[in-house]
Amino acid sequence: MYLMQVLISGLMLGGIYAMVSMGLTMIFGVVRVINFAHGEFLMIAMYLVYWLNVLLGMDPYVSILITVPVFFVFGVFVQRILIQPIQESPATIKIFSTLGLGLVLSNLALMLWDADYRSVKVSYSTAVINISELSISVPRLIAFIFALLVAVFMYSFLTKTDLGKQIRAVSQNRQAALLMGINVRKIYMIAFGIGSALVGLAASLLMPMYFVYPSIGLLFGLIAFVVVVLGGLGNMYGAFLGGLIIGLVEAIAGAYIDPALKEVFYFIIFILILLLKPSGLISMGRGSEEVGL
Amino acid sequence: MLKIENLNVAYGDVQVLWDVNMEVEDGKIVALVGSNAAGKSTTINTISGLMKPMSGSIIFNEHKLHEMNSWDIPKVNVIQVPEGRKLFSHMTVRENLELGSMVPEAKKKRKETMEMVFELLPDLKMKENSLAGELSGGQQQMVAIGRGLMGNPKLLMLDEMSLGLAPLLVEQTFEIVKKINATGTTILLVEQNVQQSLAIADYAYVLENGRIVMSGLGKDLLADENLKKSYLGM
Ligand SMILES: Nc1ncnc2c1ncn2[C@@H]1O[C@H](COP(=O)(O)OP(=O)(O)OP(=O)(O)O)[C@@H](O)[C@H]1O
Ligand SMILES: [Mg+2]
Repeated sequence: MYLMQVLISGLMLGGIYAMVSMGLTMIFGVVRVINFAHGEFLMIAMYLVYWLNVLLGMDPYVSILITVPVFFVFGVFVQRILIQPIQESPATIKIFSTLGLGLVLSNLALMLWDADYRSVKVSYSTAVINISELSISVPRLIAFIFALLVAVFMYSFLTKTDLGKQIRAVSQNRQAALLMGINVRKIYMIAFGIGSALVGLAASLLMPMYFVYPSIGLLFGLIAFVVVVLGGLGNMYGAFLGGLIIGLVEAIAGAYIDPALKEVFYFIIFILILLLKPSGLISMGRGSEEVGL
Repeated sequence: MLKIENLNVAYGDVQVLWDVNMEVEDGKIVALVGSNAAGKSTTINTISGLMKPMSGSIIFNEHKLHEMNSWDIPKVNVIQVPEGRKLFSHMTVRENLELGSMVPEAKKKRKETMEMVFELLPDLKMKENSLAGELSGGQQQMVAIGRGLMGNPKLLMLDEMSLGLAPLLVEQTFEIVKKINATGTTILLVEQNVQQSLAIADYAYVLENGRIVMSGLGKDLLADENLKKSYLGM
């Protein structure tokens, strides 16, 4: 029963990781930029949720209506202003610019809001649902349900709509996409926007159960990288599954070994994948390690 | 009509096209032939806007293609079927065809055009739910041509469509090109397969080291022994 309890809580936490990681992998797969500021986007989004709550009394779940569109637009701007001018530059330059953006954001947060841990006070943050002997945290359950909805939504969007198909086309062959009359720059902005919007959503779902502080981006950034490598770079379905797996691993390691060692486990998984199956968990056939989706 | 005037194109510092002049009249099949690395793909990539010329102009029915973004060029019905097919290999045949009709005008007619494509290329209908990357080379080439047709081309540019295909399939693709042309679509055929291209072309240009060295009626060039020896290594 205890194991069951551990697995459920890990799976639910994994939902959040899945969402953040799907955003990261979407940006990588389409724009071909590793967003090293991804964790910092999440941190800023969490502060947004926090301040909306403190200043306006807005419930974190209601703040979804704000974080998602705001971070979509934020992502579009980052792509347009920061990445597009260096789109054709070598990878190192892109790495430095997203790393730099991340540093700017975390230092900005430190300057504006100190290193304090801040959390929103909501009645349901420790609420649980009891099913026979299992107890499930309500915020975790809500986050998990959202993660499932997002996965279903993203799947339908990418496979059923013209815009979704254009996004996949750009990720698979950008030159052919151009020849089809697809405005590749616009698709890059949309993909970066979606990737960031997912982070905005994750922030709203996290704040009822987490603290925010300026360096929290580091932790979530690290997790997202491990998940994305686990699932295969650029692979949305891989990122979803990978997120759940990392959630499970974290819960098991925390329950049976030592919660303080969870980062060590991320790294062990990371290195094992790179050694054993660098193309990621889910291979979509020849060449997919490079392209994904 | 497509009119290319004094076109000069370079990759970085390396110029590969020199004062290229060409005309493609409406409704015709025009071949652009030449040996390896002559600059054939560079020419049609510049027409498609993937490369910007150093100087010169490319005009198609009043549209200045050399000033347009590559993604706007299919909107004026100038469509390229690229060398090496460049399919979306993790997507189905049907999705590949749909992606050929993303510009608004083509999208409106998507259903009818797809029926027309399936009629012309019946193999695609049977494979519509297969992943493009899992098809044979010949089938992939048909998908590439079909995807090009989905954009309702007035000018269809085909780059090395017969490369790597078995002789029988090469024959078939040339037949298909003739059929497409018969519906009124202008064709610019870029080929290393000189013999067959000249045989179906109304007019042809020979490109050598980035310069047009000869042009004439397809059948005249075909009969020109000197041309074959000096430029085409036949
Ligand atoms: N991306 C590139 N960067 C630099 N040089 C290039 C590039 N693409 C082609 N070239 C050079 O430009 C010249 C013309 O190449 P192009 O591909 O246009 O020739 P082609 O006639 O299509 O040849 P092929 O028969 O091999 O397809 C060649 O010398 C080639 O090396
Ligand atoms: Mg070529």
